[in-house]
Amino acid sequence: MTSSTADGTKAPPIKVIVAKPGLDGHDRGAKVVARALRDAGMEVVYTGIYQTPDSILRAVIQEDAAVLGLSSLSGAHMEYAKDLCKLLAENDRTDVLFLVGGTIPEEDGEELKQVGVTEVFGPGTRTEDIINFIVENAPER
Amino acid sequence: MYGQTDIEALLAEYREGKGWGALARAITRVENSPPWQVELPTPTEPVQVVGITGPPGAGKSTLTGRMIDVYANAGARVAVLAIDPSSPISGGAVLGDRLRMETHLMGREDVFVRSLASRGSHGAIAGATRNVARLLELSGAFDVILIETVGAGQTEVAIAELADTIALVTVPGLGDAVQAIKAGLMEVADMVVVNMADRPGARETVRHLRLSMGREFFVTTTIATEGVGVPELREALEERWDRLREGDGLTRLRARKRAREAALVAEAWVRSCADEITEENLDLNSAVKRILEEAARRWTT
Repeated sequence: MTSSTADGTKAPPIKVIVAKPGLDGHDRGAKVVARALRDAGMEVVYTGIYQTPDSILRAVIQEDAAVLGLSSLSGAHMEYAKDLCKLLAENDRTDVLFLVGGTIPEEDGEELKQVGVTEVFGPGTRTEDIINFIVENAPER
Repeated sequence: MYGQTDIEALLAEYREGKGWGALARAITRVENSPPWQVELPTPTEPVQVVGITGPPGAGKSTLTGRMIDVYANAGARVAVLAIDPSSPISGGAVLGDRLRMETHLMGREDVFVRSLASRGSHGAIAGATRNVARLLELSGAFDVILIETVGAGQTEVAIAELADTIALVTVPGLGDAVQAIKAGLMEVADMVVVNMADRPGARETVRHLRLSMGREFFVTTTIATEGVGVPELREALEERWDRLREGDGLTRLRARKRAREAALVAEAWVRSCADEITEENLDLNSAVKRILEEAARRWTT
């Protein structure tokens, strides 16, 4: 597990934004993931529900996050993912690991990756899989 | 491990208009370096650093969110550092303060909010907080810097070592708890905010505070959820800042805090050296001597 010490010998914690876009109030999944990532030694900024692409981008930039996790259970994931990929690119943040989770139909997975999402975690994903993916792929900060 | 030039280059990038990204990255560099590896110049144009502290659940985040509104509406550029505790077991953290400030950030391009995890440091702030605040001051991008501490009890007074003004937030009806914080946090507070002032017992709490702190001491009331009393709080903070900036008040205040900061850094340094000196079976006094000598030797090399 990553942790930081006074002499800085260990890698600092990975910073993650967990965000819920749009009119989607179901945040239990997002909170479960946030807690699991915390327990894996990561620093998770939870932005809450009803976020816009602009507010999510602002959080990614100001917090200097290495990972953005978008949780969507409303079916609107494609639109938000497209908007955010565009915003991340415009703001020189293409190295951010962009993960999308929630009720994502399998057939949408490929298209999400094509627009720039790094990985998709649909129904039934184990939190260990998300943690491992982040640990292996998060960019250094 | 990052060099000084790295941080300065990022600050320069920020000043060239490259946006929050460069400033945010510079903060990460400072956050990830031990305090003795970060030597930032003294800011030429000081900015008031306000510490917002108090027990958990007193409404610090909500109040800080409202303060963003009040300052921004008055034309001030606001930076917020929101500190949440790290798990002592995993080292991870869920940083939830931003959540309560989100609605106050809409359309405000010159407000900057950064969440910091305490990363095992005590006293309700993160070890890097002072240097991060100094970096924000050096950026020239802000008119005020608000630091919201972890929920603090009696002894978590480290915020006093780095903020120019300490606003202690409490709530009515804590009763004995008000007595309890008297010895620690109350002593370092420059003003007290009784939040949730629409709750029963608010007037009594204010009266108690005035009695114990003296009539000169500034006690005010707020209802942070509705924004009530927050403009008055800002006025009090501005007045204090004006007073500090008259004459050499601020210089003396900061010099005093700087000395205590040095003591804290020294303590962290000695601890980091001590961790490596465990191999010998010495009696206590000799071990202490050994650690101090080794810490001094390493500091100079």
